[in-house]
Amino acid sequence: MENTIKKYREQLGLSQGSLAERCEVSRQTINAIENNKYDPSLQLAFDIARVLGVSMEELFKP
Amino acid sequence: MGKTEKWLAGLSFVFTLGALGYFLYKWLVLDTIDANLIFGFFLFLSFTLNLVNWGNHEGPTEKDELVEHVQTQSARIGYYVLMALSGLILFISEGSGNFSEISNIPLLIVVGLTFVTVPIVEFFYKRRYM
Repeated sequence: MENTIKKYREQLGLSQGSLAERCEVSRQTINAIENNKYDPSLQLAFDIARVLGVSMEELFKP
Repeated sequence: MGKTEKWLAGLSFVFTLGALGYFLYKWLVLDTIDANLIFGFFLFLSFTLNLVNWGNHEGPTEKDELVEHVQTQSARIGYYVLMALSGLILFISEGSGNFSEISNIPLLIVVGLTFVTVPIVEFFYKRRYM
């Protein structure tokens, strides 16, 4: 699943670590999602979208 | 992995090699097989692998969904690897691929159990939901 997490994260000036902290997951998890190595659960996808302040549609493309 | 975990992993690896070396010495030189050493080798090896993988000899201390995903997938793959290895050990130790020539019945039962363990567990576990 393609995603634009990195783009929106960098726009907010957030590091992978701080995004991970706000979503209560590890930095490795955010890194794996950004690199399309792991598809997050719906709950985590919602959490990431909430922290980045964008919609799920903007963040994830099937 | 922090400094302490690196030291522990190194120490555990030394114990693993020590147990393996002592087992090989007793087996090849003294012609005796020590079950304690085999058990100790696998115990220390598991400590070392857990320390290298997770920084803790008991596994991950902090779990998030990626860690759980890795563990679930590894358990699934590990089950089939164990199934194949147990069959391989049976045929190698018996020196035959013919079931009628196999004399180690307990090990044959273990190999058989690897085929039915998951379906049996699934039978009871699914009753919680279906």
